[in-house]
Amino acid sequence: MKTWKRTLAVMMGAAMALGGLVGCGGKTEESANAGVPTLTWYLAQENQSDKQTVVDEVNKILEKNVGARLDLQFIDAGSYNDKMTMMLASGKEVDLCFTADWTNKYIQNAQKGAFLQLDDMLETEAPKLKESIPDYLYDAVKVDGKLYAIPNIQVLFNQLGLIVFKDYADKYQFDFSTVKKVQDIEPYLKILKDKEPGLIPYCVEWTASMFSSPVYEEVIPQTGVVIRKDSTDYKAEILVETPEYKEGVKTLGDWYQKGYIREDVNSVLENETDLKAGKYGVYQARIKPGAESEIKLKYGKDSIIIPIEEPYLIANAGITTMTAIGRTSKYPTQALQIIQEVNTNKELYNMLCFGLEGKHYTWVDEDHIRLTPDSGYQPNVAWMFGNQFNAFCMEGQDADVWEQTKKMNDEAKVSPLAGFILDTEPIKTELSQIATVSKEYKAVSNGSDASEATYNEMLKKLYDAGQEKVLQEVQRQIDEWVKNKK
Amino acid sequence: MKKRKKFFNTELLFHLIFILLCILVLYPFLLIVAISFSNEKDVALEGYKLIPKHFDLSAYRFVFKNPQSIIDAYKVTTFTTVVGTFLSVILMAMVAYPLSKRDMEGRRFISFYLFFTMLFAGGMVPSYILITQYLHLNDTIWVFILPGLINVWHVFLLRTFFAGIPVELIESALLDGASEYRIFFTMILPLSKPVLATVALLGALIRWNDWFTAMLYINDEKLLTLQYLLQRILMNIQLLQQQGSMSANGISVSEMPSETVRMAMAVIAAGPMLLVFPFFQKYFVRGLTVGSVKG
Amino acid sequence: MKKMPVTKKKERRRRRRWHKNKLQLLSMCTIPMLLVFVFQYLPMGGLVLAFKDYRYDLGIFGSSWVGMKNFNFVLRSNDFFRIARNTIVLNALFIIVGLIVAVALAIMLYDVKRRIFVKTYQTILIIPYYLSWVIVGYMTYAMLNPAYGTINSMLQMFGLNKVDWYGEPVYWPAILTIANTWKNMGINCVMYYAALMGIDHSYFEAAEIDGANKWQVTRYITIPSLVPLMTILTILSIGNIFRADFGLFYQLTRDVGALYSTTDVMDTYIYRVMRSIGDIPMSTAVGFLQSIVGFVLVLLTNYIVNRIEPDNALF
Repeated sequence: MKTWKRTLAVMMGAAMALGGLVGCGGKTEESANAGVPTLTWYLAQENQSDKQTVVDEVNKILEKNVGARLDLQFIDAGSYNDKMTMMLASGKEVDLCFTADWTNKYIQNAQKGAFLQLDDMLETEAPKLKESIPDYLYDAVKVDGKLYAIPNIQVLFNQLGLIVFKDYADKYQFDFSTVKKVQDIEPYLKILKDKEPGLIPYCVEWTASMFSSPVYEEVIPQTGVVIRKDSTDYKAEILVETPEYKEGVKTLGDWYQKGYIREDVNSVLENETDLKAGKYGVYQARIKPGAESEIKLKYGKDSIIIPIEEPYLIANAGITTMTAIGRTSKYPTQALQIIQEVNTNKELYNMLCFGLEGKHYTWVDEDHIRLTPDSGYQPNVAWMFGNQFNAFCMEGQDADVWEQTKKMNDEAKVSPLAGFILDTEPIKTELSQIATVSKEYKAVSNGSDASEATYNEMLKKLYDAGQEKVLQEVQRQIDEWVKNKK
Repeated sequence: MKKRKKFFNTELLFHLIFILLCILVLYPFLLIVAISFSNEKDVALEGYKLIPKHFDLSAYRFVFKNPQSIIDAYKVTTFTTVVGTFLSVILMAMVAYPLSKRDMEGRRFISFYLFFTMLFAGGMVPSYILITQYLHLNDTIWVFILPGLINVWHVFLLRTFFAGIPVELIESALLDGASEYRIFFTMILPLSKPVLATVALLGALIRWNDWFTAMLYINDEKLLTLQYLLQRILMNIQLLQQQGSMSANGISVSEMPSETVRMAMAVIAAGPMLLVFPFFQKYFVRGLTVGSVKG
Repeated sequence: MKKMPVTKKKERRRRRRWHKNKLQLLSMCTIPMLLVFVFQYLPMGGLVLAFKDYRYDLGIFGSSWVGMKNFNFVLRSNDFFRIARNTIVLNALFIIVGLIVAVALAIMLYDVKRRIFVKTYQTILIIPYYLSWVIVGYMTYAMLNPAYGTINSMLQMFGLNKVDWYGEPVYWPAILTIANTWKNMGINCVMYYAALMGIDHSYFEAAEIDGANKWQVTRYITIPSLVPLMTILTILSIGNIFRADFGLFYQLTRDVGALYSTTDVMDTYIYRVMRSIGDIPMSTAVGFLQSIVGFVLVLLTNYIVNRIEPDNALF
């Protein structure tokens, strides 16, 4: 009994002491600058230890130009989606937040009324911002004809390519100029297989859809329905039934048999580790100007990039990186003006991206900066803040990387469905069934079981799962959208 | 009969079974420890080895690259685990004791009242609204402690044990005029050390391993728990696996932690709890039975 | 006869005390019940979300009702039978095997006389409980990898054919059961061992004096004394029989589609759906569905237990 009481007393004492210690952390900076509102901006990146020094400098500019202050909240990418969903769904006050199709989902949030509609405000409050971004980009991210977020200009086009590591390419003197399609790489895979034991010739990052990608674009999210990139009649088709996809299944199946693809491809979760370890000969990736230097940085190897399709702007190009204003924000005007300032004021933008000169980065020559290691502020996500074309070039990047990118963006072929957003409500059951079947028959699409029989089995299951109904619904919505567009 | 007994020594057989099981447990665990001290490239190229080819601390260096945050996290986690578990066990025992009395009025109702919450929950959004907008527990240390104080599963575990304590013992104390509180503190609790230790262990583990609370409710870097610090590294990996290289502009892949780091994280997370277990074991003592209290 | 008034007086005093004690007992329940009310019952109103089209700007109660629409994507799914079957059958398997192993281990451990061994075994067996499924998943993969896994290498050493573990769904109920048992046996054993600690030692001594052998002691004293705990823990697990341990099913199978026929369960299915088209009302609906199934089964089990031995019932 006595020991019990003593333990309790000690515990309680410890509780208070620790609670006090832990509690007295923050809550010191506020109170100053009363009249100026402070807006919170949530971003999907790991917290930066030296954030406050940068934010203080940023706020000097913002206070002068916008009359508001910023509170940058970094939430690491892995928890960002869950955290934002909770905040938005519960009606917590959110001023600015990063949104995309892959995290803090833009379309769903817009449809559920989480974000502020910006069309009119953009005209009246931020004309400079409206001007700085091309109209097609605004159109591509409209939900039911209304704008709910400002897209960040960056690499917008999609272009898939094969990546070949230079060490082996040089060793075997292979001529890649003849490679126009994925299939054309086969002779090289054969050389690697024969001469390089231990190396896996072909890494399956994109499955058979890699073969159909030059011709077709899939209607998202995961409908299994595609439309020709050069379509003029807006006719939707079923992906797995297209000749290109079937050809892909056959080719990959053949490659698997020949040992160009790893035996355990079905149970491999990610390829990064093995790419880093140099286990692969050829892999696939999205191409963009400056990709070689990025690959070198990641895998420590020089590479040759072989495009297998033309640059292309998908239906919702730009949806991958945007900034939205929360419906609950008390200062929507200032919020929009902050976005405008970030997108048009190079000094401010680069300060957010790279921190302060001398402290977080230094100039190597007049075009390039070098990041200071362990400086405490290296978000490394210029595309998350705003117009990336305003960003400084980093060491190793071509000085004209942004001009190149801009050129490719502008020249890329635009999707016939540009701005079309599918309403999944009527086909939710079917979509969830299709998602299961596609996963179940992954062996067909990655080549490990590409037999005719299995393919037919998959096709039958897809039809049972309602692929036909999904096709019809997608077609119906597209037709309606086309009608309204005219 | 007696001869056969000597021949067939059950205890020896049991020892053999336990040793076999221990090997089945220890082998993978030692493998994890070994990988965490291995070189990343060795693991990628040669697979898992019980003895690292090159002894390498880089995985631990990666996890501990920001020592201050790890220290803060240890403080927060230890505090919430100790205080939370202690309060929780007392409170749960306090409700379990009345429920263990077969003649207590309202016993069935209260049991049902508690049990119902085991199955039905309002979901995350309403809890989030309650905790952040009405109770304002977000970004405070109490969000780790208060919501989970009553674990109904543990209450029923305790109730079952308390019910096993002979009634005569309590009755006689009652006849002597003891209050229920007195009986609870001076008889029930000391008699139930093994189960209290079990429940405390279970509760401590839940609190120690909790990362979800921190993820949802904590923005203050100083209040993050250890498991969340580790979990968010894993969540970044998971995001990568889902996105693949589809998000060519997604999170920077160069920071993707290797398998060695993940194993190091497992060691760091489990380590302290492994050391704590013997402390709880102290209470699984034979002979703390009714007889000894009676006398 | 003369004693009568004394007893009556005593009886009355006893009753008054009885009443006082009853209040004390109830008062002990108040704080815990209040906590449960605040943190469990208050948010429970959110269950209405399962029947609503939740719009953040309209709030939980302002959003419009949509009836059963949020349930349809799972209830009307072609896969519903399969995932329901897998969830319930595998969970049932886990409960039964887990129970047998834990009780057997606890009884064997009780027979180990040297404290040092007891402590060592307990400490080691509980280790897997500290490991996350992610890590257990890596370990499993290292063993089962079709190309260079330990088990396939061993099979080849004995001249047997390699098995494509991640392509053959038939093995997985067994693999999952073994993994689940492996991970939880230590902690469950501790629980039952603690229960054995609570048995009055004199029972065993008496039995020994009566000449009972080890098996008889186990059969007639040890196991019956564990029955209350076994019953309660089983009833509680039955409540969660329609919920699957997501980590186990997702990390161990690596979400390999070829295994879905025996490994796809409620929680993995929902996870897949949520990733592409899901929203909050849909997940609330599924949670509600899982609760209902568990609830019905628990009421049924509890009813049966009540008929057999009311003292062991949950309520």
